[in-house]
Amino acid sequence: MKRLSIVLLLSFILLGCTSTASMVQSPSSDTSLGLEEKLQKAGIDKVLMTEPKIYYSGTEWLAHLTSLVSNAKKYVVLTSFLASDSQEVELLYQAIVKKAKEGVPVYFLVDGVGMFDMTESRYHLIPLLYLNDTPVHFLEFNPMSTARLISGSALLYRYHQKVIIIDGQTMALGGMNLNYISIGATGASLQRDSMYEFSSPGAIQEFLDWFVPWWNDHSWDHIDRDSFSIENQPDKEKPSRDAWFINQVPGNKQLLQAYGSLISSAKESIEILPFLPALDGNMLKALKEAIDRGVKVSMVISYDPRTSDRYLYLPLLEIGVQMRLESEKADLGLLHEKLMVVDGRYVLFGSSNFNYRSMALSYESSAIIDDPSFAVTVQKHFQQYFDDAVEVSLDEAKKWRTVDKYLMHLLMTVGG
Amino acid sequence: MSMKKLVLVLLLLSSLNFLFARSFGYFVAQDGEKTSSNAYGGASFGLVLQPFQRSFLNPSLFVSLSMGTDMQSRFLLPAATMGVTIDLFRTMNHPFMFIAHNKIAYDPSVSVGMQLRFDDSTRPALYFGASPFKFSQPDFWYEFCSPFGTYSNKGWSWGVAIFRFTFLCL
Repeated sequence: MKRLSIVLLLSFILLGCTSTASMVQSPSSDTSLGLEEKLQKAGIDKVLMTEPKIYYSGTEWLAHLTSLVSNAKKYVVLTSFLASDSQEVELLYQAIVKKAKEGVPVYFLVDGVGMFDMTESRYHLIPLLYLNDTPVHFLEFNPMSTARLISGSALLYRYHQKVIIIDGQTMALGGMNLNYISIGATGASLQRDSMYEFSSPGAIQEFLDWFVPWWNDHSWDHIDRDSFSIENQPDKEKPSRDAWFINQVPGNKQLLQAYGSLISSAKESIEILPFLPALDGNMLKALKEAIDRGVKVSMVISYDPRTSDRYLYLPLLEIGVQMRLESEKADLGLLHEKLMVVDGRYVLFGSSNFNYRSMALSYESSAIIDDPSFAVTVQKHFQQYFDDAVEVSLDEAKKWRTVDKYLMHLLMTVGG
Repeated sequence: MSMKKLVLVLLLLSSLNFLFARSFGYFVAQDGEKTSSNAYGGASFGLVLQPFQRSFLNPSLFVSLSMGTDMQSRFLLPAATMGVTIDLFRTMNHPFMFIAHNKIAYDPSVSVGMQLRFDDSTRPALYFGASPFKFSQPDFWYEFCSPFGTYSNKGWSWGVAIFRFTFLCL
């Protein structure tokens, strides 16, 4: 009976999982196609985007976002994986409620696990359910409750996007949540992360075209697509670059194909900040094929005290990834950034970690921008992390190939 | 019905959700029934098709299978049911918002259907049900304390579904 239960439980989990094969299949891996053609065949349309302004400090982003919300005139869209109020971020939430009370529509979408935030934020957390009693349009995706356990493998799907849209003109993507540890803490408690703010009517339109019907599918609080205007006039002071907006819904494989296309198109170098690198075989294969072509692949891995990511260090080293681990002793907040730079030209930024969960089981929003000068700036940022991190030896990596690390790796692969 | 069996059936049902479209879902209920000659307590599992999202008189179809143990702790399948449920109305003005994190509608319903009963002897029956405490979100229904009755050639039986949770897969 116990064995049967375990088999059924594993089947139940696996049925909810998705293959990552499209990362190493056509069109992603088609060598006869250029990057642009690959992305087009994957259904990822080109958009124009101004050079993003990057916020690396959570507290700076908090102040700026509060200002953006306070000055909004038409509407505000805020989405986040983890979001909770706290004394440290209350000015933002006060601004959100105030703006909604002024009559400016504010739409706030957060994942259901936000209530069960297990980071340092849990000591500061004020749940956002009070927003239901305000004019803010609030929706919690896939709430965690006993009743909803019958949703089965659908509970594995989590909303991991961090998308901000103000007045159809300003958009921001990145890794920062709207909780204490991302934007409210100080010192080593504050995660190191990034948010990219830019203008891109095309990306905003793509997101809203998906967001509005999706919201209406999940909430009785019906919203109308026509009430979201988009500022289509390009900012003349800020020249636009070619970019691609990736709006991943579990199963649509856009993110897999975007990463796969970038990796298979790389000629010289790939720099990656993966956050939790729980890669599966297809992801490793994509990297190995690039390395076999002579592409230098560098990766900086955050120091995670749970050490749940260490099982994969050996295969990463064995395929030739120049991998460095942040020092345990560094008195710095957790490196939560997600980034990929290819050939000093293409920059992929957004909410997606370079791991199985982001590729297959999460809603993610990321963008690729074709901008060599911007890429150089971001590369310098990466290089600083790389220089400050330490090499991991093969012998050390072999020590982490233990059963308990394997089990943690499996857990992280599905759980993130 | 043992807890292990209940968990297994739940897992099997929930693993199938990738097969379904949004208007289609499944439910799990804990219920019990008193018949003219016996009584049982257990669970019901079923499928739901809701083709519309009307605010008034919104219909949906269901099929279900009940299972449980009787007063002598014997496992039995009392009945299979198919029928139609009508949500009488849907309103957001009610005092039960605390049930869920997201905004939830109150939409009490009534049901009628046909049953094939397997207790005592295999026979057809008429099924009548009501859900005075039904609450819904676009993808999930919560029902509490829903009474039902059936009529067959053996007379009336009646029961209550303590809870019924329905997940409409996306």
